[in-house]
Amino acid sequence: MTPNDFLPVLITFFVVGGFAGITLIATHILGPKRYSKEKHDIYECGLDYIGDSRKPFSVKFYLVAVLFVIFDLEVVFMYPWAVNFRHLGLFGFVSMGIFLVILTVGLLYEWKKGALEWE
Amino acid sequence: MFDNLIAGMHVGRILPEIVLVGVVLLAILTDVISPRGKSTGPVRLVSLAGLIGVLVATILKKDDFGQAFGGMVMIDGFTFFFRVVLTFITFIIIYVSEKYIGLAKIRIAEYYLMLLLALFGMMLMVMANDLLILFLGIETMSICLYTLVGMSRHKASSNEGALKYFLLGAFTTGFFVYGIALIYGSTGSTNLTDIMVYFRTVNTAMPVIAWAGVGLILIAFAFKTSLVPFHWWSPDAYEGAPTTITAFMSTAPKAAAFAAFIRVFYVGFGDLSSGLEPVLWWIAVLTMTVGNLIALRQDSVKRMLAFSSITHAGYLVVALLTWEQMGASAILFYLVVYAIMNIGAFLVAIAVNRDESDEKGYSYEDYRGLGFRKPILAFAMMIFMLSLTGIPPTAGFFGKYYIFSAAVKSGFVGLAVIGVLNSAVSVYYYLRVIIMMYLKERDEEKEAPIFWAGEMVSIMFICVVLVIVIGIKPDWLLSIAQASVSGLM
Amino acid sequence: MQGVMFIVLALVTLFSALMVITRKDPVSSILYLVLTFFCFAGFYVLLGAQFLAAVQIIVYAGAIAVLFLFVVMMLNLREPEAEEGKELIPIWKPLGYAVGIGVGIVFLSYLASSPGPAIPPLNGGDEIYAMGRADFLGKALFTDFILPFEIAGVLLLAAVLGAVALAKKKRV
Repeated sequence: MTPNDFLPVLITFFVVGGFAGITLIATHILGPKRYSKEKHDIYECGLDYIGDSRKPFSVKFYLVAVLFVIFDLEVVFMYPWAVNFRHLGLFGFVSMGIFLVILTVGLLYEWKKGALEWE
Repeated sequence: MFDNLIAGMHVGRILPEIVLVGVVLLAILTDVISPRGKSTGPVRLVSLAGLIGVLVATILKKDDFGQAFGGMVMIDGFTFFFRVVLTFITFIIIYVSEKYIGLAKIRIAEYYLMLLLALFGMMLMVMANDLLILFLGIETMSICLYTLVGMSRHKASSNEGALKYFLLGAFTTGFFVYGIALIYGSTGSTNLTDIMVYFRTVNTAMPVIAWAGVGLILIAFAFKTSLVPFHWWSPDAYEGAPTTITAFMSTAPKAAAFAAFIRVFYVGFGDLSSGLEPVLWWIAVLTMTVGNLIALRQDSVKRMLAFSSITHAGYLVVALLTWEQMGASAILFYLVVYAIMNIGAFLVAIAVNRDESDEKGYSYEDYRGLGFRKPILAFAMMIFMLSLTGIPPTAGFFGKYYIFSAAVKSGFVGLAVIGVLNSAVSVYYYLRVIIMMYLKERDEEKEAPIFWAGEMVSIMFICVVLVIVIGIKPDWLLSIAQASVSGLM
Repeated sequence: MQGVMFIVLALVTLFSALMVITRKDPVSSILYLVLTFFCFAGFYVLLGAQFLAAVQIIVYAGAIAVLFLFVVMMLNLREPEAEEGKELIPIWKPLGYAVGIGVGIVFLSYLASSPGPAIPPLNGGDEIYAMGRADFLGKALFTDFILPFEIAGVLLLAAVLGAVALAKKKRV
């Protein structure tokens, strides 16, 4: 695997980004434009909107995100272990076992403290 | 093939840390199975029993010294010394806290769990022989401390302190990692022994980038030990934290950070001492003086103790930059003595404080006439204040004596003079407490009840006895300190 | 080819990093930050660290960026009103420039002097690029770096406890 093997990834990247970009620009240029108060409103019909769309979030969203990052990292550690599972044998198994026991206790703690509940 | 690998790891040498992780897991499970709101008692007992287990494991492995995990950690007399000291401090703090956390409205089991995990981080710091392990240790400790500082969520000062500490701490982590990267880039290793070998061979033509790495790591240490000009976080964090945690933070993490400081700069960067000397000289002078000058103007005893802890860190830097065995042993001696007298002083402050729910509190006024009201408590406070000032025959006197004589012997006479002058300035604010206690009239209408807890009284008593005993007979502690650092040089 | 790629990536990185610190609206700052993260992943691929590149995208561009967005929304930051001349200490700005230029000088002088790093130079070739693969990384992680790996577990545990202790609503 050399960087050159990542050329398809790069091409995909450009195609996806280019498609999205060109579509946006094209609609902007080609589409008709009629400005009025209604057009600038968030909803053209229905209820009048009140206040601001930027409402302060509850901290519980943040807690979920933090816990997600932590377990995300855990999975990142598991991948290099999984591809070497045969090679590392019992030693790797025990090492990963210790790691997982430590984090499972953390999960148990979260569960019991209700950090996984949406209240 | 893995048998050789496992045998080469010497897993047994880190038995105390393994026991500690086991204790942490057990304490969490205890918290999980205990009925809601009643878990602190059992968790505390598990933690205390577990810490005794850690001590036993440390002593069992007393003669099994050497490197472990391919040179990543170094178990020697130095590690042993700090393992014992840090475990003791954590034990004391957990022991005295149960009644106080009820008063401070933070009766949650995480208080104890975070202290245990912080201890784990500090244990890593004192045995790290590799910058990677040191980094992980510092991070583990810091995450726990951020949480502990912010634990009084109902108090604005606690939130403020935690946020400042966390943001500045996160920046410091950036500096530290950047420093490690530059060191690795120029030396090809994160192992302190390898780094030393590299610096020894290229001493004349050090690349700029290696110097930049050393400088960044120095900044990170200066932050963790709250040296001027990286001290801004510490008074706010110390003030916002629950007072038991302030006592903890100003002793154990400071000791661990200085231990790592000594190992990195004596072992890893030992050959750069002549280049680092002027920088550390100025840091020492500034730290001693600035801490003192601000401490003079405080109206809260807790804040005064926070600023004076900056000054004490300055004294430790004086000893550090001697780059001699004598200076290092003086640091170890001073750290132990400082822990004893500072924990004692904070415990008295907790007992005397008027109202824990008050944002500020800890006013000097609370001490008015305490000498007549509670003579024994006032006597204990007097001993701690005298010791912090460094007046014989207290332990604090010998702590300063060893530091300044080490400085003079290494030719830093000017620095020693500035240090002694600063001690003289510190008399003002330490004595102010004593004057309040003994020379001011009682004002019975304004007096608040004293907060008593049996555990606190017993620890205060032990601290007073130790301060006096070490003050009369300091040799034994010094010889332990000297033996502990002998392996480093 | 790789030289061209590097220059393109470097320019995009510099541009997006500058946009992160100059945008007034925090949300667009974060979107540029995500772009910067992606560019870093590109650098990792060029350096032969493919697994790290994947991790960079999963953890940083994915999870961490979401975390940033939540913070912005939680704090409900708006475009700050212009408060010219109200800086706390006027010296910070020049000081910041001085530090930035200083760091630049350090790196340039390093590149100019270049006694060469102690790390063996990358000669290209497949062997070097194999080092960045997940299986190679796993072998190193589970032999030489087993202790840091286990400690990372404890560190994550501490983070879990700290996050729950501080952010969880207290149950009465």
